[in-house]
Amino acid sequence: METLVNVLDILVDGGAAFAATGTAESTGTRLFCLSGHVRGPGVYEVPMGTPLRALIELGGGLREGRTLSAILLGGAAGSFVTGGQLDVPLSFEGTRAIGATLGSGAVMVLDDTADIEGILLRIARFFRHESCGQCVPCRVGTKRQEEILHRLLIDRKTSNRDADVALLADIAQAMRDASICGLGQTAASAIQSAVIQLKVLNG
Amino acid sequence: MASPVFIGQPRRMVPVSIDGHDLQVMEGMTILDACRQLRIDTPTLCNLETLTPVNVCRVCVVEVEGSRVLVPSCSRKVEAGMKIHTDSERVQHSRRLVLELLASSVDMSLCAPEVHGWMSRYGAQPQRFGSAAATVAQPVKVDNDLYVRDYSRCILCYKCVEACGVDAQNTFAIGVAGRGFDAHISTEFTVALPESACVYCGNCIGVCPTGALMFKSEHDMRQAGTWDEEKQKVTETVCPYCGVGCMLELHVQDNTIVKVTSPLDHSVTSGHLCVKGRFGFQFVQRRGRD
Repeated sequence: METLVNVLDILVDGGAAFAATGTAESTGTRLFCLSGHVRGPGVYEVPMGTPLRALIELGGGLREGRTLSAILLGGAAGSFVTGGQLDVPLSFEGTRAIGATLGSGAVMVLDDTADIEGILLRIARFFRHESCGQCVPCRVGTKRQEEILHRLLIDRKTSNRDADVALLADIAQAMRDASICGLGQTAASAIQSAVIQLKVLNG
Repeated sequence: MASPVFIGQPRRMVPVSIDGHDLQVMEGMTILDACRQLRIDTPTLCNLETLTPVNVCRVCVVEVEGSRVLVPSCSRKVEAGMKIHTDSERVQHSRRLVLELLASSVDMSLCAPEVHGWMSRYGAQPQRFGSAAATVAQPVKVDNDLYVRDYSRCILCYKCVEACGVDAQNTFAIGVAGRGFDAHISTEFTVALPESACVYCGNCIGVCPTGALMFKSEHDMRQAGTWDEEKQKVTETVCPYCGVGCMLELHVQDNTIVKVTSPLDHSVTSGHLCVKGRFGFQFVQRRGRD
């Protein structure tokens, strides 16, 4: 639908006028669904390349007295970015440069009250549930990912932390490389970014 | 009078590179065909030459330069200029993980010896997911006299579904039900086989690579500990029932037929039979007039 609305602008004003907005590689505007711990969650239309910080400010910023924990950029199949990465331009190439993605345009802001571990478990459960079951990497990989994350975060006694974190990374690579569709290919993306960016599984 | 002979569309040769070897292969070939031409042993589980590729097992993946993800060699056609790597670190990693993920959830003990060979080649250690890892273990389904279904051995390769469907039998008695880790092969509404559309051609058994589908005779003998392939003789013959001329392989142990198959490369059957050829052998073994 967003694409079709853009077509109207291009037909009425011409391609050059449309491309005048945004960056050289990501033209026009984009709808971002800002949610989570911001004063004014909602759908915001901003030019491509707008810094993430500006989008959050557009949404009224964080609540009084709260500090930023992380931002989930691009939805469940996206990745976590940290407070240190707020100047990333929201464009295809800008997010790619920091190993993230615009994905669906979902921007979920999490402050210091957020239960990040709970969110990771929720994401793992989501992908295990959404897997259609056709290909092996996603069908069994999403199941194993949830099991391992569960013992890392809940049944801690049963987990050999270092081995399990390595196992998660191994599964992630196989799902990304060998799954049939985009769901399996991105099913480990947010969890891996949490391990790397947020250091959640560092003990 | 001479009649025209159809010789097919003319096909060009396309240049590809596989593991550094430059070669010309026939346009329309799969990467797997090209690998086999070079005698590169490529693991496959869901692929069978008589069935349409479904590319679901992902164990045959290879790396193609310029492709973001690995590609299934069983179904991807060669393209001019393709640079293919069949043994890169990424390929080895995914093949290892696919085998590990499968073996950690399914009983693969009755798979062909080459499957176990691939497991050791890629260093698969299914036990590293832990003893609490979920499996598809379940009781064997014994609901008829001809064959059993042991879905604790099922890797969901879809071969039986294809053989039951448009690739051979066109009966459509089975399909994949459920989704995710709970996906499984099922009859319509999970009814027992005798109540299903199954016509007992046994073509699903013929294509099953894991022993999940098995002659009841073989199942019973395995249970009793009397199944011994070393003591079995395979006798080739032609099915006596009709005039089609299907080739049969009678597997005989202790002078008793214990299983019937047909060669995959037989021009009449492509490995497929009907209920009479597959299961109608008892009359051969009647010793008297009782």
